[in-house]
Amino acid sequence: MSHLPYPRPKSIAQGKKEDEMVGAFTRRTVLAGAAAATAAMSVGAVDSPASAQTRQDMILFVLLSGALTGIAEAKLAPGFRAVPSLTDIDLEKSEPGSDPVDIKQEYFNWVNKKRQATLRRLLQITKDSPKSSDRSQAIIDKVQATPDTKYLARSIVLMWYLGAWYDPDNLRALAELPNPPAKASSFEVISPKAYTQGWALRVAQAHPMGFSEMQFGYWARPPSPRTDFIGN
Amino acid sequence: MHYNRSAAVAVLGLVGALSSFHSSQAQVPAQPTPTAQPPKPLGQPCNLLSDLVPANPPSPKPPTDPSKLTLTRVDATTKNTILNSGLPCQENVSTQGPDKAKTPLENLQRGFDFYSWLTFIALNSPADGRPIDQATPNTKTKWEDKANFKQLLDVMLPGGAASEWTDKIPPPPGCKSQFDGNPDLMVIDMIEETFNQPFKTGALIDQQGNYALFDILMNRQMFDYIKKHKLYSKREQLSAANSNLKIDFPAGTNPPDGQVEGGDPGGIIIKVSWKILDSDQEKRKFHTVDALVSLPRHDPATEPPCLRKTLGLIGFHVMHKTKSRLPWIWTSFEHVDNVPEEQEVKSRKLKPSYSFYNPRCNTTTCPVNQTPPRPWDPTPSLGLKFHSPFKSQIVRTTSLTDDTKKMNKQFLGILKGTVWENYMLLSTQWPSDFNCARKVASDAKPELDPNTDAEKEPDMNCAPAPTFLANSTLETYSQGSVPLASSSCMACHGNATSYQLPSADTNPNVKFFNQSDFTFMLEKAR
Repeated sequence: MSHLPYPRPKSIAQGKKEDEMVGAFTRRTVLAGAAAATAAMSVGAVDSPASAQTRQDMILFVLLSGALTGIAEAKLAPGFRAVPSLTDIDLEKSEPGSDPVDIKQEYFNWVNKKRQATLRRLLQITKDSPKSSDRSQAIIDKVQATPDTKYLARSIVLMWYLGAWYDPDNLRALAELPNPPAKASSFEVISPKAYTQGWALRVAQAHPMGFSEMQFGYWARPPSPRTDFIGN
Repeated sequence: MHYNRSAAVAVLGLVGALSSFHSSQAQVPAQPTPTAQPPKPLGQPCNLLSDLVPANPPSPKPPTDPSKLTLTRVDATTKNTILNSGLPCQENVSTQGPDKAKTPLENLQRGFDFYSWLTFIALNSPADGRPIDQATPNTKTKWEDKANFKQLLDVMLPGGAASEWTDKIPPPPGCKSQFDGNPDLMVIDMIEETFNQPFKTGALIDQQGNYALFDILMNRQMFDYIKKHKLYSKREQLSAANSNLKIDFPAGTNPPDGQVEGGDPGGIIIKVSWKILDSDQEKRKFHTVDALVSLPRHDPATEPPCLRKTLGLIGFHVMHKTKSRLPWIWTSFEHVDNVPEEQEVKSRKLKPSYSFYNPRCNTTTCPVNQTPPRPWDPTPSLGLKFHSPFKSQIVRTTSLTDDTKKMNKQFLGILKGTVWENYMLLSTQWPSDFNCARKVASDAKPELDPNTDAEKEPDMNCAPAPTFLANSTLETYSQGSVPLASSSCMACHGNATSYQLPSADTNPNVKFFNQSDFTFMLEKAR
């Protein structure tokens, strides 16, 4: 079983509820839920963002996503380049990335539509967290300050890893309520593209069902090293 | 990508030509009309033009500041230079551009689209060496000249027989008498792939009830590689001698920096689609070829009919392998009157007629993008007429980008007055992960050049841009944007394989590959 590419940040909260939540979201249950809910789930359409997005917003979103997921920014957003300034990252000169799939834009639009105000706060947290060796941990610590930012951050992690949207309110219910409603486990696959871009299966050196860019005959060979998939 | 010196040499040459015209803007600059030159081998020398030129020429030092670059003009002032610039051996593209609002991806896409137009012009220029703007609709093109390209079935011969590049392959017996009297006729020996689209997705029937026809050709470099490794033979592909061969076709390479000679175009494959032309009026708007079409053989004892037809070019794919894009570059053109775009249908901004769409037929009577009723095989007694009144009602589902439309307008402007003003670029698909696209084997051997790394994973296609690309006549029924279901040149061709098998004594720890370097041609070995 592959390990995450970076040292695992301190977990968000190690209470009993968190362990149960983590247990409820095993790969098997998520994939089983995906298969079972295929007929019922909604494949959400991504509308135009609710507010105008700036280039800096996207850079911050990629930095935030990198901190939350533990995956290198340049892998989440091919072409991403953080240009250092004297004290931090020069947001004016940095490059948000430019690739044909551009899943980052789809995810940004989605989150901006679902939770615009809270997203803005997360981006501000990212901007206010100085560039340092433990900036990721600094961001994670700050997002846990309020339930809104905490659970939206979790939604963003799941979005990148699973290509599906788990509403923050549902995640909060699962974590905090003794008997969360059944609908709290529901999710939406964001798009066919998002389905193909989930990081969970890349970390596993595999690919989503029905979508593979690997070479014909790959199944007869050991998988390529994890570094080929996630860059670290 | 960087602005390399080789490109600068050619660019400065173009700029030099431009500079001489800038002094007088009150009159159309007189340009010497090129006369027919003895035809040179395609890609000799390589076309080094780029979509970008220095903004303040002349400058011996290639500018790295994007603000000092401007787009290459494509108009009357550069027409002769561009139309006679020849075949690119390798792309000359850059992440930079004069418009700061453009992303690196958009700048690269523009560069690739410019390269595609240069390629299209070079391949469709007259075989006799005249410039393309002197061509008539039926002027033989460079790719139709057997000195430059061979049809697939003239390489994959019955019984896996070997051949030489200069061999004159006899036509099917049923065509012999007509061919003997007219040896310049193109011969199309129909197999299923001549009328049935990839993965047997269906035949395409035009508004006159005729089948559209498809054909595949390869250049000399492809042929030489196939011949060297005997890949024209299924038995040889299966042989032990080829069990360890990693198929790796030659890659196009520009000449060394600062030089004009010394490059090579590498492997090029063309796939074309044709329409049967029944009227003289139609013939004026299409590039045409006189052809003998041998219908598919059903009965081994009976020669199928051989029909003499005038064919009109409706679709044009080019695959070009280059040293910096080892997963190939994929170019697609089509005739401007093939089909409308979805948006045009919705807004009812339609032409009076299309080859594969009836603007006067509603969606109930003429459902869009539906395959014809079976059977799809041509009926010998009907020639190339479809057996039912059905006519394909096709709409392009993915619009051309504004940038591509803009470039098309420029190039069609310099092709005005020729039949080639009726053809447009759809897009160019190219591997955007540069590090992946140029990755070579760690144990690179000169004799195995270009040493493509066959183990690029997890995405051996190296992030194709754009993600999807479909020609309305060649991938009619797989248009769209559904991953691995909708047409993507590279996502499909990345799964192409040969007949190779591992040898019995292969070390189980050594990876075996039967990938065929993005071409399905090797499956046609007999």
